[in-house]
Parts: sequence; structure tokens; C-alpha cells
Amino acid sequence: MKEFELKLKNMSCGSCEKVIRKAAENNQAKIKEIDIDSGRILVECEEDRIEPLIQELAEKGFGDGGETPRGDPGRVKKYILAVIGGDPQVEVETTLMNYSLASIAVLAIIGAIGYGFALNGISAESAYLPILVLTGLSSVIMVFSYHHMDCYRKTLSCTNGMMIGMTMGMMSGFMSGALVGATNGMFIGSTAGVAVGILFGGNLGRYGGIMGAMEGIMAGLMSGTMGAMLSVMMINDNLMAFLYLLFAMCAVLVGGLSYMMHRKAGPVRGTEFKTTFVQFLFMSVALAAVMAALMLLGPKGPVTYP
Amino acid sequence: MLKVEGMHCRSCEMLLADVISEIEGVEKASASRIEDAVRVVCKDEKTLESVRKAIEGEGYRVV
Repeated sequence: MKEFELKLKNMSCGSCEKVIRKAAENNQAKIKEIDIDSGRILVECEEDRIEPLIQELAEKGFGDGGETPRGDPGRVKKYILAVIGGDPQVEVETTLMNYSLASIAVLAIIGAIGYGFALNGISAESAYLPILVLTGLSSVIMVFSYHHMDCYRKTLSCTNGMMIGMTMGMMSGFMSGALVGATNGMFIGSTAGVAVGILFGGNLGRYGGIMGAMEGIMAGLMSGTMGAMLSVMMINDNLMAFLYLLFAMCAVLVGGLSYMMHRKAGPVRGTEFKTTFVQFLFMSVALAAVMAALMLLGPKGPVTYP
Repeated sequence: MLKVEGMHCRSCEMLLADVISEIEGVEKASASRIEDAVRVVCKDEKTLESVRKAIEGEGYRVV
């Protein structure tokens, strides 16, 4: 009999320990030590039994298992393909992606009708078009992330809560602040940005405790004012071009948050996902409508776009 | 199908599927942490009761 030290991946709880001990038993090996935190186990067995044991542990998900190392973009690609392909492990994300695409289609129809009728008479109406498109898209992005993060509310750790609060507060505050700031100026833009940022950041962050809530509120406060300030400062310097870039980055970061939660907290439990398409659509349309009304009909500051 | 609370990783699923499969009278067993559920094909109510006990015995809750 010889002792072998193995370094395993993906050990997380008592069940993992039981599964590993059972695999050892199957291979006439004895686990002498097991450390879940470091993933290290000490095994005693005959020399010819260690390879079959390593093989069985790999099959059960504790070996390398073809998993790419941390930091490898291949992990993100795998996640994206799983969401697009409707993998059961990311069923909730796939459903939310479908809701988002359908909501964008509905918003485009409502927007086209609104643009054709309601905007008649508003000066420089065509210049509002790109801003309104970004408003619809940002609403869907925010609602997607809100409902995804909401699924983790019961199991949120303090660190993850802070990350969610900060990212959601930042992204939602920045996008809405930049849009309303562009059309209505610094005061209205900052106020709208801060309100939306705090609503999303604080509301989601609170599930991670007071630190998450505070992080969300602070992020909303900062990003709301920063978004509006950025738009006002860039009005005469390719504002729209920068907004496209900014919104693309916000979408990537919100997607990154979803991936991060998938890695850190595991797949969303189906039972925690209760959002229907009607709820998703209603929230997206309501958010876009309030922002659009504010932009078109709200008070204007001294420096505004268009 | 039994609703089971407490599963949070792949090992929990494997462990429950393994433990249940070993019970006499169980033809098929699988567990899903995403659905919080265990699916069992067994021959009678008595076997199902043993399945429930085995799940509870591993520290999970049948609801």
C-alpha cells in the first residue's frame, strides 16, 4: 500500500466528500485525509488502483474534466454557447434572453408607431430617434439583469451582493443619466440617473445585506450624476458616437455580471425564477416610456441635445 | 417526483441518485438541483417510503 496526494477541483461540501469516499471504496482505496477548502486529499491504496480512482473522480467532476483554467476566455465562450443553445444548466438565462429579444421587438413596434404619430410636432424629432432606440435597449438590458439577479436573492453572499449592487447601480444609473442628461441637461439627467441607479442597485444589493445595499445606493448616486455630466460635456463632441460605445460596454458588463454569478453562485434554481414574459415586457415598456416621456416632454436645461 | 430541499452542487445530485439506486425495488433514480427534485421509478409505496427516509438520512429535506 502506498499513499498518494491528489489535488481535486470542484469540492464544495459534505456531499462531495461522500462521493469521493465512495469512489475510493469502489477502487479499494482508503481516504486518509480530505480538505474541502484546498481540494487536497490523501489516499492510501495499491499502486495499480490510483489511476482508475483518478479516472473515476474525473468522471464525477472532480478532476480536470476538460475544464479550462481560470482567466481563459474559453470559459465565457462556453457559457455564451450554453445560453444560446438552451443548455438546461442555464435554462433561466436562455429564457431571459428570449424574453429580451421579444421585448426589443415589441418596443420597436411601439416605438415605430409612437415615432410616426406622437412625435409629430416635436422639434428636431429625427434627432431623437437614436436616443429613443438606446432608451429601449437600455431598459431591456436593465430589466434582464434585474430579473436574473433577483433569482439569487435567497442565497446571496455579502461579497456577491456588493458586486451586484455596485454593477447594477453603476450600469443603470450611467445609462439613464447619460440619456436623460443628453436631452434634458444636467439637473434632470442627474436626478433621473440617480433615481434609476439607486432603484436597481440598492434594491438588488440589499439581498446581500447592508453592505450590498449601501454599495448599490452609492453606485447609483455616482453613476447617475456622472452619466448626465458626461453627456452635457460631450454635446458638441461626438456625443452619439460615444453613447453607442458606452451602451455596448454596459451591455457587456451586465452580461459579465450574469456570468460571474453563474460561476460564483452556481446555476439559478428553476424554482427561484418566477418572472413571466408579460411581467418582463411590462417592466421594460414602463421604464422606457417613463424615460422617453421625460426626455421629450420634461423640462430642459440650458445645454441639451439635439 | 419528490421535491427535495438542500441540494446545491453536482455531488448532491450524484450522492442522492446513488443512495436511492441502491434501495431494493428502485428501478431508476435521478436528482436535479436546478429543479430541487428527485425522480424515482419504484415498484410500490413502501419502496417510496424507503426512498424518502434515505433522502432525509443524507441530510436533505423532502417537502
